[in-house]
Amino acid sequence: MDESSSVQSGSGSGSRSGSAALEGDRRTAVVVEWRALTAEELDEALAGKVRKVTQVFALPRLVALRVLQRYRYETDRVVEALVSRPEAVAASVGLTSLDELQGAGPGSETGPADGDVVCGVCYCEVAMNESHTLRCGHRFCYACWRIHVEMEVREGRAAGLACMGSDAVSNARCSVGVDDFVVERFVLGKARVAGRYKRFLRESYVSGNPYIKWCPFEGCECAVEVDLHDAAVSVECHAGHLWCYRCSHEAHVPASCEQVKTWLTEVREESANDNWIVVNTKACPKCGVATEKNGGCNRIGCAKCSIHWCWLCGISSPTPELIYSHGCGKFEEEQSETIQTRKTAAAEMARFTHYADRYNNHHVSREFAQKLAASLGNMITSSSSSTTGGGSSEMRRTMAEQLAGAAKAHLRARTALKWSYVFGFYCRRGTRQLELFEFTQEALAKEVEQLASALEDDEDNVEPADVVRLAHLVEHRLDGMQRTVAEGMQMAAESGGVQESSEAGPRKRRRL
Amino acid sequence: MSASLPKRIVKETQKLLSAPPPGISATPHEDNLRYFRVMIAGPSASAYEGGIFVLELFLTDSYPMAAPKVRFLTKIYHPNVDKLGRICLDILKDRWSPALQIRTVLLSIQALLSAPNPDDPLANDVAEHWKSDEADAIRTAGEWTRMYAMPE
Repeated sequence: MDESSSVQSGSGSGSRSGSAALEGDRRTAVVVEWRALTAEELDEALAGKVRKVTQVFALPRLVALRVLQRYRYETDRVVEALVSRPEAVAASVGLTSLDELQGAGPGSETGPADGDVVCGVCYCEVAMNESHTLRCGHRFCYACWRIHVEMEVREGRAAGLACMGSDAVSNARCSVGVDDFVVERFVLGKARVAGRYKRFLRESYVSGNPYIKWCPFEGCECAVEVDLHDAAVSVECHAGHLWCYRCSHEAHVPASCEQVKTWLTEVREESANDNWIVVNTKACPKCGVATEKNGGCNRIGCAKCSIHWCWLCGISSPTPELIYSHGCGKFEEEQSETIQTRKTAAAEMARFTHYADRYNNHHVSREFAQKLAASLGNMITSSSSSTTGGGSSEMRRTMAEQLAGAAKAHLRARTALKWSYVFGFYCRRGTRQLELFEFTQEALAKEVEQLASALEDDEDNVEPADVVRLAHLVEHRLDGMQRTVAEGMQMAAESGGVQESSEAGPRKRRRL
Repeated sequence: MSASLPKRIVKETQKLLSAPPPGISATPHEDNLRYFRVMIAGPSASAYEGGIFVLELFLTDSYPMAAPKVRFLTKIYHPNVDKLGRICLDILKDRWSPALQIRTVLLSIQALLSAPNPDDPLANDVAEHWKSDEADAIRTAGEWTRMYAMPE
């Protein structure tokens, strides 16, 4: 991927991974690598890490998991620590030595085949080979182990699975973690329990790992991994959702995370409403209640304090006669100030409304674009599974892929357009860069409309070649817009303009 | 339910009846063998000395994987027991182990009477009283014992 471009790669293709120049960091042109992960891929990645630790050091699986969790799933650090200072690793999970980590101890196995034993929980006599103990020596029958393990997993305590025993003197609960035998036989042996268990581990894997985040879209179970911690990069999960890795909001280029946050607060607080009051109402000179003139003459009878006042000059009187008889056509300095305030507020209000309207407009269109992209994405699957049509099925599939690719470009552009109005709203007025930006923005808006109408045509009328051409045009324009933004930022930074720095200090990079 | 009373509960009940811990008695209800009426004598040299405290104890279907449910029926002035008789005791909650028994639970409650723990309170006003003026709090506890825990 070209470093000068900040648009994500991987467009239209099936693979969801890419790289992008980091927003707000363009002088150094940091490129962030990312890739989308499914639940299964998360499980595999975690299993791989666990395997590495368990194989080299013969740790029980759950102990390895707890150690990995402590070391933020950085396998290399765990391995290094286990070699150079095993006691520290043991201490991090409440144990004292490598031996303990490995689960070695007096009774750490299933008993000999002969003889009976009384289970410490159900008090039943069971055959020795139907019971199990960890290194602590507390022995329980298989039936009790199963009930215990299933209950703990159900209650979300999978990672802390431990012995059922307790200290005979202090009553303190035994803290020895379960071994692989218990995990394999009582957890993984039953699909429903294993499912919950894996889900739980997956969740702690993602929450304990700064390089992986869940897709923030509702109901989505996909994740994305990046190689640079806390990167402000637009990513796409396997379900086709576009979002920003840093702020876990919908993808918002060219606006920055901070602008998005401010904008949303502003919209939510309905500052527009406050402005409406400033522009369209005046305060009663006596009680201060906001008053709207709904027609008629300039004499206002306050509904709240029942005083009479003049809408034009604000003079007030307990009776209406004085208001009717006074004259206030003469221009006065003070008055002009209040008019000025009102004018500024009106202009500010109009500006806000202008940007908010366009933002809302593209927001609504974006929702459609999301649905369209999803349904065209599904068409690929159905066209490849359909057996009818013989030789033409290959063609249909190609066409479906082209349309789906274009729909994705449409969604990306629509999303960027939506946020470009937020970016524009916060831009300094009257600069050459803003002019250039707005020119590109307008061109993009037109091209996106054309692409949208081509995509939404009846199935029979769709010209794939047309759609593909328009999609290319849109992607190219989007690239251009990103470049304009990047160059503008760079120039502003060079001319000493204050830039929001999205992060401070060097950040750790990690191999994907 | 009583038709299939687990072996463990049968054994525990037998032992509680044949060899009850000193100062404690626990008797299952004749209609429900999982429901026990418990009496604990106030430990000597405590504010509860001379009192007989009645409790109820219930073994849920999850017992012994889950702790028994225990509650004071006699009114008691204690920082770890609230107005409804609920008890703040770690082994009844997250520190429960299936290897613990009714017997250990009751002994722990008895120990709680000997050594109230106002730093981990359930009844906040009582705990405050305990911390600000322990002698006075113990005096109140003694009055309550005479009022509510001593037979006429």
